[in-house]
Amino acid sequence: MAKVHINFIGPWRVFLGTRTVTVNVNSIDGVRDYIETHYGPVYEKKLKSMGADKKQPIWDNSNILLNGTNIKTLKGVILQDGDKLDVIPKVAGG
Amino acid sequence: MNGYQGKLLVADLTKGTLIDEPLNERYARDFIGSTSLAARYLFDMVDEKTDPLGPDNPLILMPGLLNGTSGPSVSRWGGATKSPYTGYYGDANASAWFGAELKNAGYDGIILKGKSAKPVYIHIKDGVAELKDASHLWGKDTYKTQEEIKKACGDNRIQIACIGPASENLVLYGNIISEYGHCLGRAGLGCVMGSKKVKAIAVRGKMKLPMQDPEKFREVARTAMTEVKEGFFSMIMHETGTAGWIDSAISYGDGPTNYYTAPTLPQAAKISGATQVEQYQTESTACYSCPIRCRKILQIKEGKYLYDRVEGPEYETLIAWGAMMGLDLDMSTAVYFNEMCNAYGFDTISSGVSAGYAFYLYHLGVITEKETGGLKLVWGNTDAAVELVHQIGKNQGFGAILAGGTKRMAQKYGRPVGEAVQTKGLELPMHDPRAFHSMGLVYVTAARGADHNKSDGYNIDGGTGHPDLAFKITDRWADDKAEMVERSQNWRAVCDSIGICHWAIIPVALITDMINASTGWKMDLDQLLKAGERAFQLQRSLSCKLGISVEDDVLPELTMRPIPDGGQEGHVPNMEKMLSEYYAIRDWNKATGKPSKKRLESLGMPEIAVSIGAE
Repeated sequence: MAKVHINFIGPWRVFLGTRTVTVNVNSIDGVRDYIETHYGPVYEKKLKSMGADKKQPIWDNSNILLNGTNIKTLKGVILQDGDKLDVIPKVAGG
Repeated sequence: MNGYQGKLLVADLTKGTLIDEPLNERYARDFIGSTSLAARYLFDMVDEKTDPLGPDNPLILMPGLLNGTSGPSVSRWGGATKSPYTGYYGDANASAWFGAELKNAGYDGIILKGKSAKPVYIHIKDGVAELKDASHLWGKDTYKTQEEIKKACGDNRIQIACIGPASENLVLYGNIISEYGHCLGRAGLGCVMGSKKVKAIAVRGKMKLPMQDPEKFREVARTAMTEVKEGFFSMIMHETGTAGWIDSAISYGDGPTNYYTAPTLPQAAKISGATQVEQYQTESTACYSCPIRCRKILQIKEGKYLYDRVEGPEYETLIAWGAMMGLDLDMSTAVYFNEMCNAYGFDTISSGVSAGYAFYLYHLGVITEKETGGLKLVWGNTDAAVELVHQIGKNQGFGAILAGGTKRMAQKYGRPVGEAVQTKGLELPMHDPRAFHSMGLVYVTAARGADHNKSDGYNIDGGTGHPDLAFKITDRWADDKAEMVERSQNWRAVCDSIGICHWAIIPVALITDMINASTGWKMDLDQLLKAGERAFQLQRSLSCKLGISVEDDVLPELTMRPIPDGGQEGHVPNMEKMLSEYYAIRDWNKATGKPSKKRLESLGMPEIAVSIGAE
């Protein structure tokens, strides 16, 4: 198990009401499970409050950066104690 | 002609005449609207000898095809001219309400020619146009100008596109502004308007737009409206606006800091979209017919500059007049920078980068307080930056040097051209090509110079390309971007022509249904993309006609220096590889940079091929 810090970046922070959590996980899949279990319902409620009925997992709409690299689709990523993961909405604009 | 009002307003300002001219139906069919259609008209009217600030350079303003309809997020309109800033093709797009109102006022565009002897403004209502004296408005900022015209017309809902003191003072990157800082920016369209002594254009109308099948249009528009409203992209944009990108930019290393020499300033998070929502936002507002409502209304109760109700700044401005100079801003000062740039009416990107370059030169010791008029341009000196905003707006003092932009600054101070962060004379926007390699290719291949609006490469690299366009998504630091950039540029040209906001992700089938119900055409995705390519190649051809070559398709050397951490992690784009592949896909001549004769002919533009001497 690695103790990692998950940073909900920008709009995610507003949507989910949380800036950073520290969790013990085995793998990147563990990060996904943690986020969807603990914040999926918060997100769903937020979507409904905005008038949208479509169910959209947080994970599907995010990139996960570890030191700048998007590790979401990489295989065999070994998380280390103290890693800081940035969960960024897959939306860019400006 | 369904989908169009069928006429343009041609203003000869030298003669003081306003004449209606029928819309060229072939041009409209091929180039659809907005900047694409404006570029086609412009192509016939300018050449290398045309003085951008002379009477022979036209300024052409046009709504997008669907402006003024009930389609979702169809507010974007545009303009084109020979840029006084770069000397090449210049165009710009904006949102808000002006484009829709222009179309409803009965026109598919306005062409300004000649030069007026005294300040004037053009008033259009329900298909009737008149020239009015604007001497009393000359010298007024863009907010006051709009206020006074509304008062004079007794109509608070009239839509106005105007210039501020910057364009009157011929700041070369002067903007045309509508509403609260919605700009036709970058290429100096406002400066051209100022050179013609046109202070404003005010439009209002309720003229019926002929449509092939209005009932079908309404039905499709309703479905499209729901799609936009419920899309993930829309929800994020609604919540935090473009400024929401700041926090992401810090993670990616996307926001240029200390003139492109440092990782994105973490303190920029204090002015991000998320912070705005949490601490300053009182409500949101929207452009014409847009369910996204990404525009933020803020209340600033603390700091040096107080605002009871003010529109929040966009991402580009927050970085350009912030991290670019290493400024650790509070929201109050960030809003003040935005308000001043918009009130004077000049481009926040080019001005911010130019000011950043001055800070950089000061840091190197190339310039001192002797050149700056006593300003200490050390990274983070907010007071000095505030003074520069005013000097640029007035085109005075050291600000007059900055008003010329980075390319002229490098020449003036004997610096290498690669130190000026621009391509084709236009400064790079706030998406660093070392963070998203695709943006390097986007910047060097855009016809007007570095332009982040001609492709959303950074979006697609982030996994958010339009789902119907089958973009090839690869790592943001990969260099296999040519195909994706070409396709996304073509699509952006389509969106601009139609007038659809870049943030509205609408299924392509619904877009084609709206176009066809409006015009009676039988468009499909392939034909749309071909129209997009036609527009892109035309704009490239026009810049070639005005003097660009392969040597202008380069990223500045300063942005090719690796930054080892902060989200960029030492990556730099392989421009040689990407450009070589891109030239092959576009069928551009490797020696001249011109589109091939064969490609231009295949897009139905043999006359353009002849004009530029394409081979």
